[in-house]
Amino acid sequence: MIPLHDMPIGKKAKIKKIKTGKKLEGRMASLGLLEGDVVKIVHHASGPIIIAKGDLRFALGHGMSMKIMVEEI
Amino acid sequence: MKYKIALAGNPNSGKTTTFNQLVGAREKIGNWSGTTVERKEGFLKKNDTELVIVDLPGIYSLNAYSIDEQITRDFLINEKPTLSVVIIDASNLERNLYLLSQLLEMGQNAILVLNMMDIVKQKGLEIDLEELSQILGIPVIPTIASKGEGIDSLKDIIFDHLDAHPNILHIDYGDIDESIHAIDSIIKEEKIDINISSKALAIKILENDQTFSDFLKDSPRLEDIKVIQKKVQDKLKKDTDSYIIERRYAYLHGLVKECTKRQITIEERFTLSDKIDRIVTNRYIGIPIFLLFMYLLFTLVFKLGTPLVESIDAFFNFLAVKSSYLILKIGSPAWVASLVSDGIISGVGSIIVFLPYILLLFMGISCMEDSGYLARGAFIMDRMMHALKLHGKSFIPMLLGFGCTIPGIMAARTLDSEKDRIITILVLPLISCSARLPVYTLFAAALFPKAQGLVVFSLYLLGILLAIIMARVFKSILFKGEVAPLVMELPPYRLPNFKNVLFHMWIRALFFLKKAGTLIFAAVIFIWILASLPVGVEYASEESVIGKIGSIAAPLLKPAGFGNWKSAVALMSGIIAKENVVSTLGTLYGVEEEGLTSTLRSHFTPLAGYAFLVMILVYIPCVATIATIKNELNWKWAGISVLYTLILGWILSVLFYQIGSLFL
Repeated sequence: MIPLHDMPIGKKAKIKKIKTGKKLEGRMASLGLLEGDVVKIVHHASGPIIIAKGDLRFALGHGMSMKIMVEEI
Repeated sequence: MKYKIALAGNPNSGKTTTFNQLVGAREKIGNWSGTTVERKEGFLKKNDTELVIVDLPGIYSLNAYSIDEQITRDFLINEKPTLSVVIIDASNLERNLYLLSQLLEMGQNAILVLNMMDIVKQKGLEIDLEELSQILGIPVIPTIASKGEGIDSLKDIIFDHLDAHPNILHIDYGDIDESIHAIDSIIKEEKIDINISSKALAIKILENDQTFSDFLKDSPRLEDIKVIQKKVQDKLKKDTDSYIIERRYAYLHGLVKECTKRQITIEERFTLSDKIDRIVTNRYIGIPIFLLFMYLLFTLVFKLGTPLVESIDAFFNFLAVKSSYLILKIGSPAWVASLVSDGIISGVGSIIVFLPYILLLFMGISCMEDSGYLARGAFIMDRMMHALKLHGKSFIPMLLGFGCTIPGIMAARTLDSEKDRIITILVLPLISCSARLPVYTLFAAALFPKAQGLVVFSLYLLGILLAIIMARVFKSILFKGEVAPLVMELPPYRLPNFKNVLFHMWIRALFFLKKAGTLIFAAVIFIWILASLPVGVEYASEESVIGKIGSIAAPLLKPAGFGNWKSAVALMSGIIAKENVVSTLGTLYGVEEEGLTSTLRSHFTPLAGYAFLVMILVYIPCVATIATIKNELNWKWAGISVLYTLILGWILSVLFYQIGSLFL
């Protein structure tokens, strides 16, 4: 398992563990991002990243993407 | 009969567009009580049935993660809407249906609007509307709100379903179904009076949701509930709420599968939006591109707006002079002429003068917001602004503040977090607006002829520094805790809808005229009265009320080096509009603006002059700003803004003068 932030652009990963604390995990879930979901890294800006789940795009700050543990698939 | 209807939906689902299409210009803007979040209400009528349509904040769920979600929950429980119209982006059914599933579980009367059906078609999806309606047990209406398609049938269906009672949605919660049922029975026995179904309440209690748990806090069965909660917690290997969210998504996944006839596997395709994003959020050119857009916005508002503002200003000046002349000519007393020209006409003028800025600002902002670029701007600026304890979106209001504080404050409504909005609005008046420039240049020319540019520049810089420092101070005093980490949806890029943009401009301008206008006008008249009483005195002279207040205030200003009544009166006139300081000084010293330079030289030392400019930079925002803060937030924050800037301005100018005196 590696932090989502360390995944290269264009790669797909499965979210294994969200270690952001209950409140932010709930917020992510209501946006449609859950443990077990497969996401793709669309873009690395300096710090934040953009990921895709299906047709949805999300921006995650640096701190957030370090606390989401994923496995490459 | 009068009914209350709620309009709910995710951000970017086209909810606001639908609202505008439904009610047109028949809307009322206010705040949700106890908050600074905007509440919009619209009105619809058919025969004897009147509907008040409440546009709820755009939210993703009914949990309590944000103030918007809290507001929506409180609204559903306390105001008990007859019907909830849930608007969703039909091209992303699963996530968008989440909110609806929570509403239906609560036993709310709802209808579903599938918006953006054109995009569904483009994507090659086919949704079985009848099947969806059958499973959910509520009407489903397809619309394309941006084109106004489906709005008429939506209206009809709303009026037809005011008294419907759809079944409570049944979601299979697997391992914990039994426990939910057990708590459900307790709630039924306890006869809790609440506007949501006992099952939904049971789920919320199982999730340990504070607001809902409070409904049972005095119950003798509280212990039983705790036992059930504990049992569930032990049984599941994870948090109860995570488990519930997962089950709900699992249900929705199945539902969407069943109702989508032709489902293309949604591969994470590299879309046009992604291509644009790679460029505009690039680590090297992202910020320059953002600055370019900012430059365009700034140019749009101020380059285009300023000539209009100046013509309006000139027109009202002309009107004031002419009317004063005419009134005196027909033999009316001087105070009547002064009331009409200095009071009423200049009062109305000082409101109308802001209209070009506001119209142009909202044209720019709604284009940026609707196109989806604004969300990217926040993303790009996040890191830098984060270091300043501000949100990425604070950058735009701050930048506009250099032109005029009013559009800056209004632009702060693009910030989602209430805390970030309040902080941004509080520090905005510290950014030097263009109205302060004439005062800076006058003093710089008079007292620092060799370093005019440097003096003006130093004041701008001081303002920026103070804004950064005060943002930190407010953050640590008022809102402890970290800046919310960035997690947001990036909507796909879309072409802004022309009608929407115009509508947005119109509503904002109207709101400003109605609300801020009255306040500004009252303030102008109030100052006029102070300057004209007692009857017979020369306008704003030492014998007038304002002159007397000035004389009282003068000793307080002495430590800052400008302790005379004339400076005090000039500062007071600057509260109406900062540029007034120049003309007031002219009147008080009995010279035309051209002669003011030499007059100032004999009344101010350079040190006192600079201290005066520091005061001009910081002290009390102009009335239009105060009125706008009251409008956008409330009286409390407007008051705090007046108080802190006055104290800070006084401290800084005194410090500057006293420390300076040691060296000079």
